[in-house]
Amino acid sequence: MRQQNPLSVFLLSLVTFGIYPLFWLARTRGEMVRKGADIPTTFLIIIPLANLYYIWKWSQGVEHVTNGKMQWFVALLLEMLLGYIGMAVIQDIFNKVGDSGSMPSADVPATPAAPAA
Amino acid sequence: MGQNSDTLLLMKQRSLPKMLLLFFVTLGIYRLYWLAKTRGELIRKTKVKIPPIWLYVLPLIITLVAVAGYVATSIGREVRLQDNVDLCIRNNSTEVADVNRYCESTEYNNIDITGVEVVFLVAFYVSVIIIWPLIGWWYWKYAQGVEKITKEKMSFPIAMLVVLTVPDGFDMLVMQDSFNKVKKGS
Repeated sequence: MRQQNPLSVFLLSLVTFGIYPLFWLARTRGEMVRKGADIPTTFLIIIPLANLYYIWKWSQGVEHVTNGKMQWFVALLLEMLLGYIGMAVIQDIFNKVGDSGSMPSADVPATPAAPAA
Repeated sequence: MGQNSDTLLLMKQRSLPKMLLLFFVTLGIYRLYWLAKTRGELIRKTKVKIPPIWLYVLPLIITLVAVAGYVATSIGREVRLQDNVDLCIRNNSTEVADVNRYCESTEYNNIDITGVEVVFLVAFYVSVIIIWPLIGWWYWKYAQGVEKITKEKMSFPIAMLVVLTVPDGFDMLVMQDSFNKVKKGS
């Protein structure tokens, strides 16, 4: 997943009056799909009710790429209750998981690391 | 050695019913005190750099003062306006309905917004613009400390959800409960 400053996610969301979150959702969706998550097209976000389905699947994708470090309902609550702040929190988790290198990959099956001798 | 380092990580134990009682008795001020105390404990035990508590409190105070000041000055303006209309009505001897219409449409009704009101209004908007980023940043660092002290039993996202969505007063109970459990090792 692309590393990004959570503060920039929050600020860009503010200054673009809500346009950036759509871009961010689409970009992260693409990255998560490449990691093997099953998330429908981001166009669903503009369709009433279908957008709830999209956010639900997107949240499941977060759980998938973070290896359960962030559960899907936590991601869902963050998105729906905290808005831009929730997005920043999720980006922070993406950064941390990316740092620790524990993300699964669709190309290379994730295997548990061998314990150090 | 391991036990000693675990002991160093412990937070002060607090009774949840007593905290709730104090919250209501002090009209919510206890929550600020609790945040300040636990902030100090978190800094000492986790080394997470949480901003000073005044950064959290100051925007709240500015907002409250601005709203209270604006409401007070607005009420004062309304009172002066009504006095003027009453004076106008007393000084005219025509039909009451006509007088009312006349008095409410002339210079008697022309009391502009005062400079003090403008100051309070600007203070309100400035505080609203800075209040959320500051408090959000403060909670962000605090939640990182919570994640560290609870050894991720309460993760950073959950801590953020708790402080920002659970009603004030009850959020600190959820936090303190997780602090208390750290000691019990559960």
